[in-house]
Amino acid sequence: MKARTVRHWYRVHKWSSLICTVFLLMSCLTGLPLIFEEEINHWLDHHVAPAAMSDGTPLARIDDIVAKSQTQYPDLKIQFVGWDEDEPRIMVGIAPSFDSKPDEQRYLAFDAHSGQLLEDTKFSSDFMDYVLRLHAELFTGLTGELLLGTMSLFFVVALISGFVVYGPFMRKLKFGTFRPDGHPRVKWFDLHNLVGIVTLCWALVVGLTGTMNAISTPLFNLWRAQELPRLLAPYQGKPMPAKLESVDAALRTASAALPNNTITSVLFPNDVFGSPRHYLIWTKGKTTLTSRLFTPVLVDVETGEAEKARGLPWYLRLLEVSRPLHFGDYGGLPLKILWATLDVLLIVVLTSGIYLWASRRKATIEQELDELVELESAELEVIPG
Amino acid sequence: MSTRETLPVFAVYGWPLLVGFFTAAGLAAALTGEGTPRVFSWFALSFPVAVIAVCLFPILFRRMGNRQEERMPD
Repeated sequence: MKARTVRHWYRVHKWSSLICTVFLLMSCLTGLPLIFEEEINHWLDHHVAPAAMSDGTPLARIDDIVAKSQTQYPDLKIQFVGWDEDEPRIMVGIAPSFDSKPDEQRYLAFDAHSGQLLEDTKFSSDFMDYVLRLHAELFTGLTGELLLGTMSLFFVVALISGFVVYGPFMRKLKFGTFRPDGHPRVKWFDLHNLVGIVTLCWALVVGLTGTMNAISTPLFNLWRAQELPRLLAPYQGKPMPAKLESVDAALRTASAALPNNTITSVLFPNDVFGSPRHYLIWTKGKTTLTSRLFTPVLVDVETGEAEKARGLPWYLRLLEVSRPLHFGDYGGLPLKILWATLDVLLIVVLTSGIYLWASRRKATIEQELDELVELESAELEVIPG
Repeated sequence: MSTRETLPVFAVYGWPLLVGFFTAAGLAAALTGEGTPRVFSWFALSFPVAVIAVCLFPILFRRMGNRQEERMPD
C-alpha cells in the first residue's frame, strides 16, 4: 500500500475514533451491567413469584386481568398485555396515553393462573431501567437514540479503517508482538493493535447491530406507514370503535391464524405504535431461531376478525436478528461472561487509543508518515525500474 | 519480535482473519440452536480472548521469573 493511502486511512481512523470514543466508553460501561440485566434484576429481587400450580391448572381470563387493571387505575389507558417468558406471569402496561413519558408508565404483574395482582411498579423506577435509558438514548428519547446510532456508525468506520492501517503498521512486526519494557507509547501501541485486531469481528457485529437497534423506532414507523393505509382503507368514514371486544377471543383468533406460534404480547389499539382499530398481537416461533422472529396478527377490535397476517419486511427481520447479536443474551451464562470479557477488552482498545492520541509526539503521525513517503520514494529510486 | 524485512500480507493478516472467522462462526452458531451449537459458540468466542491471553501472559510470567531471579542473591 502506498504511504499516501496509508496516511489517508490513518486520518479516517483517527477522526472517526475521536468523534465516537467518549460515547463508546459510556456505552461499554453501561453495557456491562446490561449484559447481566436478567441476573441483576433477579438478585435485586423486586420480583414476586406466582403461586406454584400443578400442570393443567386453568389460566385466568385475560379480560378479567384487563378489567382489574382498569379498575385499579381508572384514569389510565391499558397499553399492552405481555406474557412472561420464564414464569406464568402476565404483565400489563398502563399509562395516561400511548406517547407518555417512561416515568408516567406503570407495570402491573399478575399470576397467570389465579389472576391475582403480584406487583405494581413504575417504569424507570429501578437502577437497571436508568442504566438502559442512559445506554440506549442518553435520557433524551429518540434524539439520543439517533445520536448514539450515528456514533456507532462512526465506530464501524473506525473499525474498518483500523483494520486497513493495521497491515502497514504491523508489516515489520510479528502477530501478537507485545513490548512491555520499552517506552510506554510502544507498550500501548502494541496493546491497542493486538486487542483491537483480535476483538474486531465482535466489535463490528455489536457496532452494526447497535445502529440497527438505535433506528428501531423509525424502522417500526416506516412499517406502520406502509401497512396502515391498506389496513384502514375499508374503515374510511366510519366512527371509531366505541367498545373493545374480548381480548381472549382475539387471542384465540390469532392462535388459529398462526397455530405454530406462541403469543408474546398484545398491543391495544392506538395512534402511536399500532393500529387505532386493531389489537396488534405479537407472536413468535418455537425453535431457537424462530423464537427470535416475531410475526404480528392484527385483530379488529369490533368484529374480532383477523387481518391476513403478512410476514414482516426484511428490515424488521434484520432488526429482530440484530437484538440478540447486540445483547449477547442468546447463548446462556457462558456467552454472557464472554460478552462481558470482550466488552472490557473493547474498553482497553478505547483507552489505549485515547492514550496514543493524547501522548502523541510533537511530530504527529502524519509527519511520521510524511517521512515514510519520502523514504518510500527514495527506495523507489534505488530499485531499478 | 521485530523483524527487519517487511512481512507478506498473509503473515500480517493471517491470525486476525482466523480469529475473525471463528468469532463470526460462534456468533452465528448460538443463533441456530441450543446444545452443540451453543457449546461451539462458547469455544469459538473464547478464541479471541485466549489469543490475547497467550500473547500477553508469557511476558507476565517472564517478568515474575525475573523478579524471582533478582531476589535469589538475597
